Amino acid sequence: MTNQHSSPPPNKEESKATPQSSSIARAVNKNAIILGLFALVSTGLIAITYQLTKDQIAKEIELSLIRKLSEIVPEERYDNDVYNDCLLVLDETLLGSNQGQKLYRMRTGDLDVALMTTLVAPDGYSGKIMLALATNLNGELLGVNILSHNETPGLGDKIERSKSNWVKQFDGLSLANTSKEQWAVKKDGGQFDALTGATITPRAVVKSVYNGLQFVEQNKANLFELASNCYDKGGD
Amino acid sequence: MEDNNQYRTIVNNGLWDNNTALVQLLGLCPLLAVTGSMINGLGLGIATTFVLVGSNVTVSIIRQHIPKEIRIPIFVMLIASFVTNVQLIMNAFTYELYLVLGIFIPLIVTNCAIIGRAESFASKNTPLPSLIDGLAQGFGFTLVLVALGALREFVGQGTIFDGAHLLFGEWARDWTVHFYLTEQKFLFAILPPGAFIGLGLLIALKNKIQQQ
Repeated sequence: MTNQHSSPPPNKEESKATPQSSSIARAVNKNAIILGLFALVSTGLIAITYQLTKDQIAKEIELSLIRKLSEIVPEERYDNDVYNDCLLVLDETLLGSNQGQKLYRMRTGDLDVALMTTLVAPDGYSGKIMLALATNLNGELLGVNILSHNETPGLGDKIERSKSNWVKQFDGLSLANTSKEQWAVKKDGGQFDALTGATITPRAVVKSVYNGLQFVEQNKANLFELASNCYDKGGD
Repeated sequence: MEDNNQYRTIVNNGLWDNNTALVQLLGLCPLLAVTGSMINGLGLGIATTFVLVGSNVTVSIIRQHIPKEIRIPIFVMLIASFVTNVQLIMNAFTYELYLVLGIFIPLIVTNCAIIGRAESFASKNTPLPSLIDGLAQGFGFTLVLVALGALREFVGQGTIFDGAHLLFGEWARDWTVHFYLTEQKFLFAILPPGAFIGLGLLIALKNKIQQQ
């Protein structure tokens, strides 16, 4: 770090410049060290906060998921640790994302009760809509819930359960009792109400739910059987 | 006596004379984006105040040890660290609000008001005045966020305090005050143009009051 680079024999002018350039080097060194120290301290603070909050954060995420789930499947219906009984599933066409989606299994004792899978409607009015749908063993929808979206407040956001009943139209439907043509908004000849002033949003959700049901139908043989793999228990 | 006067000036500056949002017009990006409802505004206001106080106090304590040439990167680092901490804490204890405010929490880092106070006040003053300055500036900013949020929420959907449970817990769920019921919201107030016009009205109101 010292300023001892071997230079050709100094002539008079260069030897004059040396004290100044070495004092610059000293200042640079000192500043670099101070900056480094600050980086260490502030990173350390973040690390401490992270350690202190990470359990709470994990708990909140779990709670929030269970809350969303309990809006469509009452908690009395199952008794397993749903949050950890979770399968990562990947199907870009049907689940709308190239990232693994989480599929939770609900059971009572040894009996399988229901499935809830998260999926993505990629073609919302303002980007992706994350949703979850729960089905019973007959492939009938127990309900659909919207996890997150960026749709227009006051128009498209009525897909939220807390804002309107729109999403309840799905309850009880299945691929068996509703034909392919009916899985569309009324404007497109289907059976689903659109929302006033918003057609693209319901269209995206209906399509996505239909695809999600197909995914469940195609894979129903082993969705309950595969071992949980959402949260890597090793390491950390 | 001297001290009291100094503090009064600092508080006046923060709340009124040199208000972050109404006079300095700093931090407008989060201000305009999250004030769709009063509670969102309050949440971001508290988070910003917390960061502002933390960075002001820290900067004023270490101000003599910071070489002038690298003060800006150090300020940025400190502020970023405070913001990340606030983000983690909000994620842990006000999860739903964290989801609503989302991207705007990390964006506090880029709120010029914070680095502005560090540079123009905290780096030249002792910790106590810096603390008070942080509180006053943060509180002034929060007031504007809350006022604008309440205005837009009232005009847009006829309520105030909607979503209070996000910030205060389940027992605050009934705090929502409905002024009028509307099936169709007044979108103009809720979408970004409403924020610009609302802020403009607030600034005009402040200037009007000041003239008298």
